[in-house]
Amino acid sequence: MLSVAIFLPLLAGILVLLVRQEKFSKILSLITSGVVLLIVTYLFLGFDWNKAGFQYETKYPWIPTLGISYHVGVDGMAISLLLMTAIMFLASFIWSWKIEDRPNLYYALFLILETACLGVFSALDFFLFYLFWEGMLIPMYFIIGLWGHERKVYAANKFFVYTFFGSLFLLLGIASLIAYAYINTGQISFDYTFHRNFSYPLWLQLLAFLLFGIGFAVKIPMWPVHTWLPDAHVEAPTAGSVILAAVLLKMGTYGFVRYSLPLFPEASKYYVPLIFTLSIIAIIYTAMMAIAQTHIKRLIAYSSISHMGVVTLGTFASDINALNGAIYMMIAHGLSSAALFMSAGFIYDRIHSYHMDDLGGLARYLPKLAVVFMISGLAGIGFPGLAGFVAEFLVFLGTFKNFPLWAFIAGTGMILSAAYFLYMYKRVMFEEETISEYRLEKWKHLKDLELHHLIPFMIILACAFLLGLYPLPFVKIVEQTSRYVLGG
Amino acid sequence: MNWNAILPELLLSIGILVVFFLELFLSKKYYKFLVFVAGIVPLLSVLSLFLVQTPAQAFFGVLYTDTYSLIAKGLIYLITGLSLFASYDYFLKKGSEYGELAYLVLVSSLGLSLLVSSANLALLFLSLELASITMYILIGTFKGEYLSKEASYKYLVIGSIGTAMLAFGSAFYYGAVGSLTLKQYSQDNTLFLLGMFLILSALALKVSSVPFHFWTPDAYEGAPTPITAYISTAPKIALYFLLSKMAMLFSQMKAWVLLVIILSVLSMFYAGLIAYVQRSVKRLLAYSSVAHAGYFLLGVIVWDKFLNSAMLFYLSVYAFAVLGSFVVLTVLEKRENFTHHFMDYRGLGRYDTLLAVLLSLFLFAMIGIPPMALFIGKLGIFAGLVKLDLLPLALLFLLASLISTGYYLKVIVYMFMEGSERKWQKAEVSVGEAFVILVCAIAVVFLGLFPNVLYELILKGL
Repeated sequence: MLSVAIFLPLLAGILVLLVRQEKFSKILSLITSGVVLLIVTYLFLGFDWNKAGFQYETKYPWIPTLGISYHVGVDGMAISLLLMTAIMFLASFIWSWKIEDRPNLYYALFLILETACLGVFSALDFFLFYLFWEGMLIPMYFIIGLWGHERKVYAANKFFVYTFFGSLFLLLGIASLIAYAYINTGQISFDYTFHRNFSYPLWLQLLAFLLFGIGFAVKIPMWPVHTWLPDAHVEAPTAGSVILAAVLLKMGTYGFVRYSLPLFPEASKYYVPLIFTLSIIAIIYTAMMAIAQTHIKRLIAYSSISHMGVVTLGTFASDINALNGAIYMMIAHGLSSAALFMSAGFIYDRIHSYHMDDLGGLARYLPKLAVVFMISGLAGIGFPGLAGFVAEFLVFLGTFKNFPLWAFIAGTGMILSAAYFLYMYKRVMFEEETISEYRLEKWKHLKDLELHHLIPFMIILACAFLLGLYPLPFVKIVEQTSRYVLGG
Repeated sequence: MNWNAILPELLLSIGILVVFFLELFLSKKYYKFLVFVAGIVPLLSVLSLFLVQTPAQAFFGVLYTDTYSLIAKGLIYLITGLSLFASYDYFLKKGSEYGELAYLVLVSSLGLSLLVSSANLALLFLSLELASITMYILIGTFKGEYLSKEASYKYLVIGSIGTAMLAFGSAFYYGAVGSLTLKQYSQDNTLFLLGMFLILSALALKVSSVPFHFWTPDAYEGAPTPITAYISTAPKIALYFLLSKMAMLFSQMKAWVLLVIILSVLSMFYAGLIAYVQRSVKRLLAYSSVAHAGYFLLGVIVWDKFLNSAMLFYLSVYAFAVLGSFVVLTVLEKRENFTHHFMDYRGLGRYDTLLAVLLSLFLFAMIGIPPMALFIGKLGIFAGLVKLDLLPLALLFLLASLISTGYYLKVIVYMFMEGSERKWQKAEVSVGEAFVILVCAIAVVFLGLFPNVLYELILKGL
């Protein structure tokens, strides 16, 4: 069942490339992502959060000589992220309904990307994991490079080189684990559970943590390897930004929780000061960077980095609440940033500018947008009743217990996040007086959100409200992973 | 005399004679047929490999055949056949149909095949010369093309230095060991060290490792593209299988380890950086070949089953990727006025989508993106180096591969993300070229998903 969900989009993508009919591509993509969403929802509802370990496991031998098997399965964190991924892809397909430039290739790349994303979150074999991890690189590279804005080639190359830089370290990390296990047991194995039950000496943990960590940090991205993200976001097409922010960034934090914490428990404690310092810098510094931006997409990109800092903070606070919060934050941030990027993309569609100087007073002309933009933003800054609040609350609650000072400093970042969002909102939606009469005249005929914009917003914001108002079942599911990871 | 041990070589020699006589008597009309026959010959030799009983010796122990060298021979023959199939249309279109080319490629393949099973420095010298001299000629066989002659001459001059070094080194080796037979030796002996230094330099020259790489870009660029496809793959396979065998014999010596590390690190970084200033895709691929020489040399620093098998796997699938990409360049070059300058590649993704996609598949494979098989080689070398406590080298390798991504991406950017100003005629793909490109693409992807097909063979051979 899980495997069907993973590979269905890939098959559909190949079919789209073979048939090359615009109408067919669109409908097939919608149906495929809808079916994937249904399957994942079904798995999500059937998930037993009281049972430890992985569920829906499938394991077949694949390359026996090298100890590689096709091994997939999900735990609480993975199933939640899978659900979020499926929702995001469905939303992006609906959002891209009116794309005109090379639609077949566009849909095919997104479908392949979906397989890669779903695969990353469910692979339980290093080889398979790396395959999916890199599988997302080429589709995303072309999505940015072909459908992006002015400096798309620069952004796409920067994205590729940075991400590949991280991936190589990850590969080296995997290689070192395999080599160590081979020396000591005479057995080559890429299986996650095999390595999970293996205890590594401290020196190897410290080394491998760094190697894995660089790989994940680039993807999250953590300060100081974050610089690719603003460029990639600014240049990417809207649906590309949505997937990038909502799903791709989560791969890094997912990697920390899935691999770094359980495989290198002592190293994870050892590196806490380092991770915390980087997280705090990410939270505060990038939030201040965000305040300084006049480009709305760049601002949202910086806010993403800042929020991902909260996730890494919670991940390594060695407290069950903080870890719950961190995983919760991955999902909450996925929802809010996706909605924000969609709003920004919509503004660009209508007014062809991302610059605050060109924008203002849109609340009068695009009232529906003004509402959803506000809700998305509030979800992002952690307004009570929306998903972000629960997540941040849990993270700070947990972190405060063990590291009160760090938690306090990080908390100030939250104030900054409210500041940059409200500042952006004011510049874009109000402040009509800065815009010339001539332009305002033209804006009178702007078309507000259409149905294919509204549906994705509805889906995503409904999820944000659900997660914010009734978090209990979701926290329970997420906690299944936290307990397992922290060994409690 | 054990004829069974040299069965594939015998078959190849007979094939060479057949093609030779056919070439004498057939008129130019039959050029296509001639090349086709020549392409079949090595494939028959591949089949004959299954009849060879291993391990076996021939010519009083000068020639030694085992599973290991059979794998190398199989790959060499396969690549020879494929590059011949891909060549005929190019030469017809360029009006440069030399019938000699068909059997010359086979002769050089014969030389390489003897090289991998030579257990004696004399045979090693002879077979390497056989392969090299034919390659000098092959590079020059481009009617009316000045660059091709220059490349041939340059390779001849530099290659002769390699020959001299090899002969000189063999003499020292004889002085130290008292025999030309390759065997384990680990005594600290200045004469031997000098001999090994010279032999290693000669081999490094042939695999185009820095600082002996100067012929590579010119030879690769000047040679007719199907020949470039051949000289950038088959000799590499033979030489690395040989080097890996030598590593087994000599790598207990500190000097060997040190020399190979120096060669490898220099190649990786020098080529990686120089490749950025290239304006021609063909030259860029030449530098990528130099960089890869550095990567592969990492696999022969020390003899270790884990590391060596990874390197040989990497090498084999790399050969397919390179062959494939040069054949794509062959197809493109058949268009009028096409140079391999980046500007000519603009807009390729829009007009010749399939070719552009295949070329980028091979380039992504060389970067090391899964599921293309080259990444498994990379992973294997990482794991092997870490296992041998050579983590710093693994980090250098990582850095070099990172540097290399940029220039491969450059080609892809030009193909897909830049508009073209000039309308090119649609590239015509001949049957042979289509076949070869397809085989290479399938091999690169299939071996990435199911590497055990080849990996187990190599592990068994080692």
